[in-house]
Amino acid sequence: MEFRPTPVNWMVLGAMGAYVASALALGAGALVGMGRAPGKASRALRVVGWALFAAGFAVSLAAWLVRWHEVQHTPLQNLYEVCLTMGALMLPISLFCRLVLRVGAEWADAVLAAVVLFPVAMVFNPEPQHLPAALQSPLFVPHVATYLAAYVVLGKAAVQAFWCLVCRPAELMGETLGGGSAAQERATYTMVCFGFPLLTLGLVLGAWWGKLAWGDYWNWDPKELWSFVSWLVFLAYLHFRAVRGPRLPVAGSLLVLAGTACILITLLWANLSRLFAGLHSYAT
Amino acid sequence: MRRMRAIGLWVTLAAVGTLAALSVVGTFRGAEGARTLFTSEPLAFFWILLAAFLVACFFFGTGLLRSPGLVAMHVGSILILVGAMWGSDKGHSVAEKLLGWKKIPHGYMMIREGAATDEVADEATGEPVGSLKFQVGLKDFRIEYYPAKGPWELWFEMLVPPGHAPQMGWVPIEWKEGEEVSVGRTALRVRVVKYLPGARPVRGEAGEITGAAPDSRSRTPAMEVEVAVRDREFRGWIIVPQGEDRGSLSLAPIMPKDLSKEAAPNLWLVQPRGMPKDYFSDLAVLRGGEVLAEKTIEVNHPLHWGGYHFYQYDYDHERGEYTVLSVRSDSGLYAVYAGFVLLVAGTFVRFWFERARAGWRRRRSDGVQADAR
Repeated sequence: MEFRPTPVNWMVLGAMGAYVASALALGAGALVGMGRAPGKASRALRVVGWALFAAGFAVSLAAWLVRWHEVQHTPLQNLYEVCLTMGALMLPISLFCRLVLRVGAEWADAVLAAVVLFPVAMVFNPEPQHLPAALQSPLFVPHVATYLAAYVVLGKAAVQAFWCLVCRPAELMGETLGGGSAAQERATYTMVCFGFPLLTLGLVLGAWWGKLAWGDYWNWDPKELWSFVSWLVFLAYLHFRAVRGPRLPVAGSLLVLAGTACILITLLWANLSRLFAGLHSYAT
Repeated sequence: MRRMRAIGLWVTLAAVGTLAALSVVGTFRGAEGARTLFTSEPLAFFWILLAAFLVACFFFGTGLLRSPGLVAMHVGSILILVGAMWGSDKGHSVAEKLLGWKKIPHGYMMIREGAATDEVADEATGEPVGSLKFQVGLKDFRIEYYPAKGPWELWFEMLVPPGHAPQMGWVPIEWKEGEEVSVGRTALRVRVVKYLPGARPVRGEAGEITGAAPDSRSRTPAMEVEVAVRDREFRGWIIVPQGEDRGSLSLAPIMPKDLSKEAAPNLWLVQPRGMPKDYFSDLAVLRGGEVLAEKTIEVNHPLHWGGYHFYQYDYDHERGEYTVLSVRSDSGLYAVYAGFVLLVAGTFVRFWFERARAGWRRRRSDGVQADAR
C-alpha cells in the first residue's frame, strides 16, 4: 500500500479530504439537531457539510474526466476506475435519495465515498490499460455503470440496515419518514426497492453481453455466480418483506447486510483472489 | 390464506437459499466445475421443480396476479428456465428424440484461409460431432493491435537459414543512434545515423525521395542507416509513409548472392505492437459453391446463420493462417431473451412504478382526508 503521485491520485486525495470533512460536518449537524427542531448551529453545519460534499464530488468528477482523457475510453475497466467512478456517483445518488425517496444519512454517504476512493489513491495500480477485445462492446458502459449505481444504492441500504440493527435514533440518519428503528427498516426497504431493479438490469445486461462476446449468456464464471448470489439474497429479502411486512426488522436487516457482503465479494474478492480465476480476471 | 402465504414464503426462501448455496459451492469449483454441477441430473430435476413452483405461484400466490410487475417477473423467470433447458445438451437430445429436430448444441470449427468446412468438432475432445447443412469459408483472418509506445523497431528480412529451403525470416536489430551493431549471425553491420520520430520525405528536383526532414505534425518516423557487408557499404533512408505501420529499404544493391538468394533482403522500420485490439475473420456461408451470406466477425459481433451463432474463438498463433470459430445452437435463445426483458421490466414496474403510484395515491388520500377535516 503506497500513494502513487499521479495527477488523478492527487485529485482523489483532495476529494477524499473533502468527503471526510463533509461527513464530520453533516454528522455533527445531525448530532447537534438531534431530538429537537434544527437550530442555527445545526443548520450551519449542514450547509458546510453539503458544500464540502459538493466540492468532493466536483474534484472526484474532474479526476474521473482526467482519467477518461488518459485512457481514451470510459474509465470503467478495472477496480481502480470502478472505485473512482463510485466516488463520483455518491453525491448524485445521495441527493436523489434525499429529494425523491426521502432517505437521508448523507454523512454516511460521504464516509462511503471516501472509503471507495481510498484504494484508488493507495492500493490499485493507476497504470492506464488498453481495452481487451471483449470489452469493446456497446454494452460495456451500461452493464458496469448500472451495476455501480446498484452497488452504491444497496450500500446505502446496508447503512440503514446496520443502523436498524443497532437501533440508533432516526434523526442521526436524517430520516424524515418517521422515528425509531421502524423508520430505518422502512428506509432500508425503500433503498432495496430502488437498487434491486438496477441490480437485475446489470445482471441481465452482463448475460446479454456474455452471449455476444463468448457465445453463452451464462458461463458459470465465479464472478457471475457471486453476482447471482447477491441478487438471490436481495430477492429473498424482498420475498420476506412482502410476506412478513416490517414486523421482523432484524431478520430483514441481516438479509440486506448478507446481500451487501456478497456484493463486496463480487466486486473485490472474486477479482483479487486467485481462488476465483475466470473470464472477469481483466478487471483487477 | 395466511397459512398458504407462510408455506409459499418458506418454499421460496428454501429454493432461493438452495440456489444461493449451490452457487457459492460453484464459485470454488471454477467455471467448468460449476457448469458440471449445475447441468447434472439432480440439478436438472431441481430446475424443473423450480419452473413448476414458479408456475404454481400463479395459482396459489395471493396478490401475484394483481401486480403486473410481479406477473412479468415470474413469467420472465419461467421463460429463462424453459429457454435454458431447451438450449441445453439434454434439451437438444430430447428434441431430437421426440420431435426429430437434429441440431448440434455446440462445438468448434477450424478453418484455413481460402478453405471452407461444414464439420463441427467437440471442444473438449476435438472429435467431430456432426456436420452443418452448409459450409463456412474463411477468406481472411487478421489481428489489429494497439500501437505500443517507444521508438520503432528495426528488422532485417532475409532467407533463413541461408542455403536451405527458401523461407523469409526476420532478425531483430537492437539499434542505438550512432552505434554500429551486427545483425544476428550474418556478416551484416548496421549503424543508425539519424532517427526522426516525426518525419516527412524530402524530394529532389525530379520528384525522387532524397532524404527526410523532421516534421512535428507527422506521426510516422524516418531513419537514416549505414549498412556494411564484407567490403561493401551503403547509406539510405527508411521513410515510413503516412498512415502506415512500417517502411522498408531494399539492400539488394549491396547484398552478396549467398545472402540474398532469390528474394531481395530488406531493412524494415516497424511500429512496435501493443496488445491485440481485435480479431477479425472474413467469413462466407456457402452451399453447393454458392455464397449465401458474408460477414466479417470479430469479438462481440458473431455471425448468425441457419440456427447457429459463429463466434471468433481462437486463431493460428504462429502464422495467422487459420481461425477457430465457436459454434452455438440458438435453440431456446429467444425464450431466454424474452425472459430477460420481462424480468427486468417486471422489477422496474414492481419496485419503481407501482411503489411510486402507491405513494402518490397515499399522499392524495391523505390530502383529501386533511381537506375533509
